[in-house]
Amino acid sequence: MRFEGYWARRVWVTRLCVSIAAFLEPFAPAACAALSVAAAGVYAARRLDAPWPWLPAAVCVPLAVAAAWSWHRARPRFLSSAQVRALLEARLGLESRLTAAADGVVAWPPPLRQPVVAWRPGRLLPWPAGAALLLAAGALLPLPVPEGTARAGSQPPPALAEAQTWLEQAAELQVADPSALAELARQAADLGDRPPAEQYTQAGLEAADALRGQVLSSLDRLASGLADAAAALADAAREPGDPAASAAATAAIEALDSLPVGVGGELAEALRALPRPSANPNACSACASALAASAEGVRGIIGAARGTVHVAQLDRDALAPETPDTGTEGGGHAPLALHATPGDTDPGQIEGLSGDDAQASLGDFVRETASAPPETARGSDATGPAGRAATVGEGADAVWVDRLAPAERDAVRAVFQ
Amino acid sequence: MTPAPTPSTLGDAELAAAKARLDSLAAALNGVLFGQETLVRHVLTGLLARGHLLLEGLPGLGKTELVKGLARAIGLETRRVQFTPDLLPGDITGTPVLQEEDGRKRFVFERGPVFTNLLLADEINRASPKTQAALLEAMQERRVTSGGVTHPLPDPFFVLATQNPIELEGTFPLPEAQLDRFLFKIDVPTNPPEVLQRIVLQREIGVEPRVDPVLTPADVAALLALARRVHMPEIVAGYIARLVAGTHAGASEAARGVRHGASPRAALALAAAAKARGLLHGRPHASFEDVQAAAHPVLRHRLVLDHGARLDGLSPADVVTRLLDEIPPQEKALPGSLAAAKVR
Repeated sequence: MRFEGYWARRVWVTRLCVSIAAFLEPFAPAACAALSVAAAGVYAARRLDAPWPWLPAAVCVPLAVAAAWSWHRARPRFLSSAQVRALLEARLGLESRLTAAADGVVAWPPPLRQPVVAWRPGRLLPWPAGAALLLAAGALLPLPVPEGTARAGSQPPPALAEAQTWLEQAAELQVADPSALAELARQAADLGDRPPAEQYTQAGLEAADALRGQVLSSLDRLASGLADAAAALADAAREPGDPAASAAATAAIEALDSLPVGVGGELAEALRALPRPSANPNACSACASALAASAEGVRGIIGAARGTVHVAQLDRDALAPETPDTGTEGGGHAPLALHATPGDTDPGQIEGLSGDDAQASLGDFVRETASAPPETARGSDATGPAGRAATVGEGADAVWVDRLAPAERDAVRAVFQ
Repeated sequence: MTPAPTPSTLGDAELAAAKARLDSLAAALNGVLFGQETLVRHVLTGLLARGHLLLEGLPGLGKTELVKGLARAIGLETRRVQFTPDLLPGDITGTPVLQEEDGRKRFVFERGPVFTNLLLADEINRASPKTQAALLEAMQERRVTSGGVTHPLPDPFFVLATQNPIELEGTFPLPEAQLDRFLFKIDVPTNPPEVLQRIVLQREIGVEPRVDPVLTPADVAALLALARRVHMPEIVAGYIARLVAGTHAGASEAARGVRHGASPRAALALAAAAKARGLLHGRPHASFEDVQAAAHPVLRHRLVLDHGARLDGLSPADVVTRLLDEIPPQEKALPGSLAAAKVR
């Protein structure tokens, strides 16, 4: 009985080792498979930019299933105490003395310290190593850059950038109601604060387009309202005694209050302090001028807001006199010049765009201007390869508005040049 | 219901005395047969297990001398029968002869040479199957029946048979069923040069070596009784069972090529041999090592290989070796990730 405790402990430890090894053999590959799935999940979550709170569950649940399956597989391979004693006897050359001692036949042998089993790490380590590699790859592997992100880099979508620019310009103009502009600016800031990948999703782009349209519409209506009020007020100033004109002016001014983006700043103060037209026609006239100037200013923003305004202008230098030898067709420059802003065109050869005009696309006829010398355009055919060029043969400049992408605009510009 | 085996009650003094006697007997036999310690151990194991032994080896290796020396050392009655093809069963078991006694004639059973303690059946495969069968029946039943009268054989009764493996002409190889009656089939190996030199120096043709009696018949009986009391642990018995079951085709990888495996009698023989070897080593219990040491002589003559295995050069000894490698004592193999450490 003297050494029974030692051998009991040794049997227990050896039994534990054998049981662990028997369990790990099926568990290692199963756990590796489970962690591979988790690694794929981690990678997918990173690609979708989704949060990872589910990761512990995604790892633990498959591991638990693998452990249960491995336990079921390994259980028949677990050794009993008697079997472990037999193993120790066989390995230590004890000639079954442990078994006989357990049966009470002989005394327990003195302790022997030699190990009887040795781990073979090469059989098990590749599995956890592979699983760790897969998990690390899932967590650290660089993600492919989405197409939209690559195009945009850190810049917001063009529609959002345009809306923000227009709002800033409108704020600088100090015509519109600052609170209404601030509300639109806040919406733009909300969109702009989102991650770039999210801004370039379909929903993000649509939101930016919607905001851009909202800003555009609001400023458009403000400009129209200002212009209408200016016209009505000018009529009332010209006819101070006409109650109808006076009423129309009052209605036009009151209509400004119902706009999504109303009048603000000094102009709003001036409108509130405006006397009746019959009382002070000069003041009304001055206010009408201010309103008209403000409308023009807002329209200038609107013109930019409609996209890059391309003003097609007859290139008179290109319209060489017709000679018997050379015609105007087939050679020389196209008789149109494109300008990015209305200010670049010659005076009198541009019309501001508003309303339906702003929806015109490339090749659409918008209108004619009367300022073009008829003799210059007469007889010439300015139809270019990019589309129907607005009947310059009738003698006028054609105003083109397009909403093309920069590359397309460059291409059109190259064609016209 | 079979009662659970009770642990051995062999005392240390008993064991020590028995071991001393057996060691002296082994020393005496080793003095007769030089360089055959393993053979002597097997013979003593078979003796303690009350088994019959079949010695197979070339002529002149000392098989007969061993048996003679054994008989003299243990003080038992011994007889030797040279088996020939014309030997009749009655020449072995005995025959009823007509005798006249007091004017009346009656048959009297004349006991044959089988009525002895130690029978040396020399070249047993030269006798006809009928004669072989008569001897083997006596070996199994330990009695002879003649004329309706049963005559028990002396106790103990051992048969040590020899056969020559190279002369097949005019021989009658023992069938498998009869081979099964032998506890051991022991190959008698040839002697290495140093042993031969010792034989040349210490032996002379025609002069039998002197062997003094080491044990009395009563000592032998006591040793046989002790061997039966050696404890057989349950897990060792399970090991024996798995080994014997594993000899059957399909029961183990090692048994590939085996047509007929070992019988339950082989399991009993293995257990008896393991217990005998345990006593030979002074232990009150049998061990895995005892089983492994006895596995070859117990099992190899009980395995019948198919033709394919024979053509492949496989022998029953190879099957037993593979079986011992395949079936671990602890019943279940260790997991692959946990190798058996090298024990110094």
